[in-house]
Amino acid sequence: MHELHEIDRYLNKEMEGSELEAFEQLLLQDAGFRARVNEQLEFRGILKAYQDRRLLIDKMDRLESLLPTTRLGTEPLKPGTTPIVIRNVKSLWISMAAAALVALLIVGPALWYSGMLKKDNSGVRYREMKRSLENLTRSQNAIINTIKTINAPVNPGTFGGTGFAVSSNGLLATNYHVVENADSIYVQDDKGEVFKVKLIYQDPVSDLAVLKIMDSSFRLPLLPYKLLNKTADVGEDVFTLGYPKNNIVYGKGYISAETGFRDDTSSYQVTLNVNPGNSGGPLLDNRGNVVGIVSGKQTPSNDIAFAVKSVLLNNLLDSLDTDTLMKVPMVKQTPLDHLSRVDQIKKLEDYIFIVKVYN
Amino acid sequence: MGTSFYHKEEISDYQLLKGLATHSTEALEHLYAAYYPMALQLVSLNSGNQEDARDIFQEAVIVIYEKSRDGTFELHCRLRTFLYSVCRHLWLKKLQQRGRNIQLGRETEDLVSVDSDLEEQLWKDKQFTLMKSAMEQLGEPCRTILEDYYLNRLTMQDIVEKYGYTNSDNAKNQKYKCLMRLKKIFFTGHTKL
Repeated sequence: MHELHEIDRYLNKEMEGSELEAFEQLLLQDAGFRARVNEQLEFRGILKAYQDRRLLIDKMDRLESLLPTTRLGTEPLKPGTTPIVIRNVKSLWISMAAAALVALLIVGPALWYSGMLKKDNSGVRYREMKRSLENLTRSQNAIINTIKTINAPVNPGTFGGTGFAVSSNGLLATNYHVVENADSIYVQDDKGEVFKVKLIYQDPVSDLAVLKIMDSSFRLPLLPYKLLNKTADVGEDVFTLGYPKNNIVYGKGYISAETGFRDDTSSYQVTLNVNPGNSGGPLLDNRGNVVGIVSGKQTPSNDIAFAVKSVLLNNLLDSLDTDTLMKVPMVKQTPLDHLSRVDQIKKLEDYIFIVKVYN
Repeated sequence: MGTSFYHKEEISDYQLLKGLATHSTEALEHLYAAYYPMALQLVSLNSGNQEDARDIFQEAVIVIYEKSRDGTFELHCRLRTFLYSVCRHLWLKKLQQRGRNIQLGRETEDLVSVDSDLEEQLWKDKQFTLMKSAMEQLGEPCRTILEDYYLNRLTMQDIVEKYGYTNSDNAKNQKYKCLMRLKKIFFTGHTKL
């Protein structure tokens, strides 16, 4: 009986000084004792989990009384309204219409209250193109340490995207959503060399961010591209290089609209196949101008992508302290003009980086 | 309370899950405001009623809560996508149990596989059900004594006073007996799984 209480005191962290030392010594020496302590720890864990879940359920029950009630009440849907089933196209349209009507009746009030009606309900979605990198493996904790992790915070893992140089001395551009909430950020070049960067500018509205390689001796040769200072034309052939995987990936397409998702004037719509990890990568035209920064795609879809217009990045860079910036020269013709695509890519590879975010 | 419930500022998935794991009521409210309508729509359009939607959403919230609580949750998609996928999985399963012909239509939401996550959850659910049943069988005063000591973290002295024991040794003795009884009931139930 006393042993149990001492074990509980130990697990409650009520022991100190010589008493604590003696207890821990016994743990080290006596395997049977250790087993009893582990057993109590585990049982208390189950008890706590039970209580925590009960509390959560109570909270949710209370919250639910605040949810808006539906006009159809608690009856199941009437027999006439079928679930959405794909039979033939004709009945599909009929059942879609019925379902839409029902959806509006049921969901309308709830959506209105939550302000969600202002969001796009047509079923298309904007999806950011950052990817998650390999999971950080948790070290196996001895069960005796489990009690410390009972209320541990969530580990969201690590994320990756693409970034590209906008100066010769280590300034890189990428998307804000790639680096938001980062504790630390690293970039990796096409040779595999890794550099620590700091975030020197971020703007969630334009979804842009600027990073600086912390090594002050970092230098790149003169950039072979420039940032186009006007909106590119619809129909312009474009291409991107990025890191949806750990080797650079080339994608080709064209600018299909001068506005992005839901008429967003700050980005283009591009017909281009992009994947998670492409976010933050440059969108270039045939002449070597960066016209945009790849940032997202429309789902469900395979080749509708969006890119933030380069003009916004130019404005952003202009507003930065000019000492830190060795500006991209605005030449008429870039070194990439007249090169074959293969050669253009070979020149560009050195200026495009994987962005790795840890948080 | 009615309007403020739904007008929440944008918070990130990470903050939301962190809040949920630490029992923040605000985080829970935000979760409901942001994602309950989606669950309601999924269930209502697929032979369910409002009560079904509430049950499914509760179960889904429990899943993400317990994963966040463990500290091993690694979200590789938007929270919305994960929650939706869990709700859909749970609802499909329930429809199956009811013997309904399941044919969900063309999906307009992103989906991710949640099979392994939900399998993990099954074990936690079993533990919960067992403990719940064991605590109920335990009865009073044991149940409250154990809750007071292990969950409400009352000190031995508090317990002596609250229950009117003569001294702390009596209280410790009682706690010991109650715990042993609970363990016995719990582990007997366990073997019947």
